[in-house]
Amino acid sequence: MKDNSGLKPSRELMRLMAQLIDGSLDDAGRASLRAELDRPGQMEAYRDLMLVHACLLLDLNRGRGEPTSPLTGSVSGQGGATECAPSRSNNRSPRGLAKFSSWMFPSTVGALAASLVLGVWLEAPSAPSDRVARGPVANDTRGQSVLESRPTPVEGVAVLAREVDSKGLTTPAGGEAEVGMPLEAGGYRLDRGLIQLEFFSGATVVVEGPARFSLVSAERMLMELGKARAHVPNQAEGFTIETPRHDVVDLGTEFAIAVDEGGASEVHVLDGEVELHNHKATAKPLLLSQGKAMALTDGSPTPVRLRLTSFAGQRDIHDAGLATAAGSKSKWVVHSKEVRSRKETLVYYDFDGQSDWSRVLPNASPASDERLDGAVVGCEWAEGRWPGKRALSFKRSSDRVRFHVPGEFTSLTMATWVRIEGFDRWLSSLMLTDGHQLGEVHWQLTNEGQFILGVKAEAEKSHNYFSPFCLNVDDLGRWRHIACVYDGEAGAVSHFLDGRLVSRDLVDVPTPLRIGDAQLGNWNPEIHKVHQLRSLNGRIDEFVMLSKPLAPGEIQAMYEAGRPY
Amino acid sequence: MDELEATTSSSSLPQRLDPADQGEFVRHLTGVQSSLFGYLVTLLGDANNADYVLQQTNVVMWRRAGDFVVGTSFVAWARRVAYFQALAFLRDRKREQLVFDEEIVHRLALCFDDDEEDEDCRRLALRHCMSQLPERQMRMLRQRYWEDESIRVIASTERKSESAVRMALMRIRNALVTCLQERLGQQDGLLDTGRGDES
Repeated sequence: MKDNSGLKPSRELMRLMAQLIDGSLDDAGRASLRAELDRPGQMEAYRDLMLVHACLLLDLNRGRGEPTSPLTGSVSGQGGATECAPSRSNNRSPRGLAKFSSWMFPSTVGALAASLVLGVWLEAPSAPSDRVARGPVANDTRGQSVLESRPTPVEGVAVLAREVDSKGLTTPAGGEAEVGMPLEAGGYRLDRGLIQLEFFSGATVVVEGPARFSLVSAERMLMELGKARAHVPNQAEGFTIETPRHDVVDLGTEFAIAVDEGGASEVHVLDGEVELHNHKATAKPLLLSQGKAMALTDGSPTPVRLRLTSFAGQRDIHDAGLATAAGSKSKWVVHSKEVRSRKETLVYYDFDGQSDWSRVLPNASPASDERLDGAVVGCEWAEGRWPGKRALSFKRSSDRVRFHVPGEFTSLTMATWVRIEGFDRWLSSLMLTDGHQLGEVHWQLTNEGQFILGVKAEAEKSHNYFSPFCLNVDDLGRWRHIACVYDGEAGAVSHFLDGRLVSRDLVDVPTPLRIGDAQLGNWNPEIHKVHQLRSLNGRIDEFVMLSKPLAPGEIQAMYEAGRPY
Repeated sequence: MDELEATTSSSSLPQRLDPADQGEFVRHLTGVQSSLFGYLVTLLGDANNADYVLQQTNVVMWRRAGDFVVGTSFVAWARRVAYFQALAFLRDRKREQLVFDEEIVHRLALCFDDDEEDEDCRRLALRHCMSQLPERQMRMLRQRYWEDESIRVIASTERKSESAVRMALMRIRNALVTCLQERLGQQDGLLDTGRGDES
């Protein structure tokens, strides 16, 4: 740039470049420009002006300000470490990385880099992970990524489809199974309540606690204690429930089993037929048809009266589920009203009570500024955390909710209930400001299950605060509470999952935060013609933004009040 | 492209980047992005096309990571890849109204041969220069770049004709070029990089 600094651009070059950059240059103009560049020094002058134009685009233009390399980021996972796998960025100096966090990391390279890194991980020895139980993870963090844990569901034999009023289902590993999660073979304990197991063979079993049972395979389970009611469609014929003394093989459609502490059992055939096989195999299998019931003791089975109503079935668990949901939703409504009325609440969307045609998310915070209402673009309404609760579904790359928050803030808290339905790309938006100017924040997810808060604290640099790897494929389709706190006073950024602190980082460079024009579930990269897609694949059914740092206890309370499971 | 193929396919050079050290390569790659963007904007005369070619360039650089010889200039290598991607782009879009032909692009590329300016230095200097602009000029830059307003809108708020706004923006850019040259000249003196002005 400096080598020919003595030569100034000619007036003609200036005129033509003004057309080139800020207007449109026609054929004659292009010919003139080419001719003008042939004059002494004009090519260098053109170069210098274009470089300044490019620099201005980089520095001032919204949407060009962000490092999004999967290999960059700040230190995470210090202090508030929990069950999430620490981020790779742990091993790196944040300062050293920041130097290389240049303004733009094109998605193509991001994807290529990610795939290469994946290749490296797959070669690394993997520690066995217990995702169902979400137990503590080993110090070696490399085997804990979402990508690597994808084979997990293959080990399941059934899925926990519903639960009502249960104290939780204890898994073989000693953890607690959650609704929607695959269940592996092994022994389980249910202290109370109802659960619905859906076996991969197609059989459905409703178990009532207290119960102890083992899942043997997709076609077989063992009841040691408690009541179970099985519905077996044709595809799963032959599904067997083993009791302490007999095997009950289903030949028809529906039967129930009760096992008491002493091992004494009853079998009731509600529909179709079953075969009873005595474990001692001294007798021929006994065929039992619809309407029959037998007590299974040490001796021969003795008929008992059929008790249709004493076994909860799918209908019961569904109805009871609705009642419980109503209860848990009402708990949320009360808490939600408290949160939305706080004076620090900037924006609050409950995503509820809206008609299918509604294109506005009314802001329920005390602030009365129309710009705080969310404008729904594209998204369709769907079911939220509870039956009857509404949510917005973000599916297409254009789906989004636009809003505007004026002002500058020392601290900020954002929290949302989100149901992720796919880790489609390296970055998915939770809440992103348009572009990325000084002070603006980007809150997003990576396809590896990390949360990132990006803050543009310096003109040329965005500071990204990564959480550890918190989500994996088992979280897809499940409602999760995600929160992030930027505490300007304490100089710390915290990420939360389901009410628990998963990381706390020190703020690199403090800056007042700004939101301005922003979107949920997407972003607007402004001038970029080649878009970096960051649209969310999933649903959101609550979002709140506050101008104060909520304490971990408050985030926990928010989660507890809103949890649907 | 042929020339690049020729220079890179015979790369049984001993000092190639260790494939295990992808992190290092990614750092090089990210570090060179803004520099390449400026290079391509200059060669193509259009920021959107530059964006597009930059993406292509990144893909090629990534595929050919092993061709980069450690110890040589990464910027120079990257520009070389970008140059051939720009030519490929011109060939693909032959029917479109492109600003320059291959011959001009080649000569523009030569203009960068002696430019090893640290991009971070340049951008830092530019920020300093912007801070010295009169508020009225800064306001126009903000409207043009940050708010991405059309020239028509800026013309109506500034109560000028559109061509006057375009020329005003060019004059601001030119003032920044002059300021940059002064500052970078000073820095060279201060930092003693041994790359003083030759003119």
